[in-house]
Amino acid sequence: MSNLSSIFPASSSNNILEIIDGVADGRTITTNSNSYTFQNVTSSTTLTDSYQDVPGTSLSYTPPTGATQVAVRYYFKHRGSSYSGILGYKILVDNTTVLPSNKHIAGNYTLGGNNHPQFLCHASYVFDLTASSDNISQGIFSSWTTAKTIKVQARRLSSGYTAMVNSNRWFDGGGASGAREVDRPVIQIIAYG
Amino acid sequence: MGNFTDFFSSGSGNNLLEIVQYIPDGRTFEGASTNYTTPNMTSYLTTTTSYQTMTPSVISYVPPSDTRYVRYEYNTKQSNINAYSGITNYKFYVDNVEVEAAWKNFSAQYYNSYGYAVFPIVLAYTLDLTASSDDVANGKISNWTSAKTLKWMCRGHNGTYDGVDMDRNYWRNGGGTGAPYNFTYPLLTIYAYS
Repeated sequence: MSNLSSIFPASSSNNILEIIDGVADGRTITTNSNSYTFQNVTSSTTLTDSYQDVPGTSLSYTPPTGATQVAVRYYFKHRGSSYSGILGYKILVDNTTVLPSNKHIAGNYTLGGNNHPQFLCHASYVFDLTASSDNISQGIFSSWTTAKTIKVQARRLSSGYTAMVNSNRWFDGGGASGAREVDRPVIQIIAYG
Repeated sequence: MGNFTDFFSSGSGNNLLEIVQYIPDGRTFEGASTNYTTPNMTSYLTTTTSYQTMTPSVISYVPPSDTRYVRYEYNTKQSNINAYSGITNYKFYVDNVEVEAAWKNFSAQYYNSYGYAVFPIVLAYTLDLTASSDDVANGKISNWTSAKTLKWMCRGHNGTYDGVDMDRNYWRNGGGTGAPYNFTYPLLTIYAYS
């Protein structure tokens, strides 16, 4: 016969309610509260002078009951195509920009060609779900009980500083092509009670 | 009189089963499924044109029972001292089979002297343990109940761009840095989720 505590385990004392974690390869993950399907990134993306979605980063997320904070973390690749490859990126919730999440990344400037910078973009933010009213541009929410779309957008600085995302330029001594050229975002969302 | 569940509440809905995190200083600690002894890093690695194991990243990992996803995240540093743009390639392995989907390369801007670029990188991937059959190249593992060795390997692009130092601490307190402070520890974090 089992122990009673095996059937009714003590509640956890930590403040993590759930973690959503995955790679943007089309996988579906299931938690106790929901199922989530990540986007499937199959190619790299060349940026323009306007913000556009970083493929693979969009997810429609509903925090579990009792969540007081939601932390999001995205890793995705930068690839400079000309000069320093200046790239800006930011997080949006239901198409509203979370202003303090805006960051830029770039290599050193060179006139000599050989535009090689490839860095890691790290987009992150912690949303506060305990406010008395919404202020999404500051990542503050009064009530988040239905699905909201969280995503990252990026742009190049201008046509003089072209850049790509989700891309690897080289592979084992030569140029990268096909699947080796694609670098998929890795995403983690943590809901805290 | 209270309800039975007031005294014996159901378990948390939390899907985090374990976090394993270490710096590679040779320490031993207890995980949920087994004990771990970390690699003992004593120097930095310099890239060549052949793949080399990034020794501090090596762990023989056993997920807890009912694990469905394993995130492996390795925070390290690339020092392109005198390696031009320091183009470096990284491959992730599970039991010596490459997870091709995790492949990536990093580099700084090219410059023919003053190769000073030093920058952090993160090598992260989330393995899917819910698959019905193994497809390690795409990060899918069907039955992971005993130890599997996880590691990253790296190489320089070619003879011009190799010589990149991983985790080298080149400058310290305004000058060059000698042993024992000429390297810094990377940080490895593994999350196991149900």
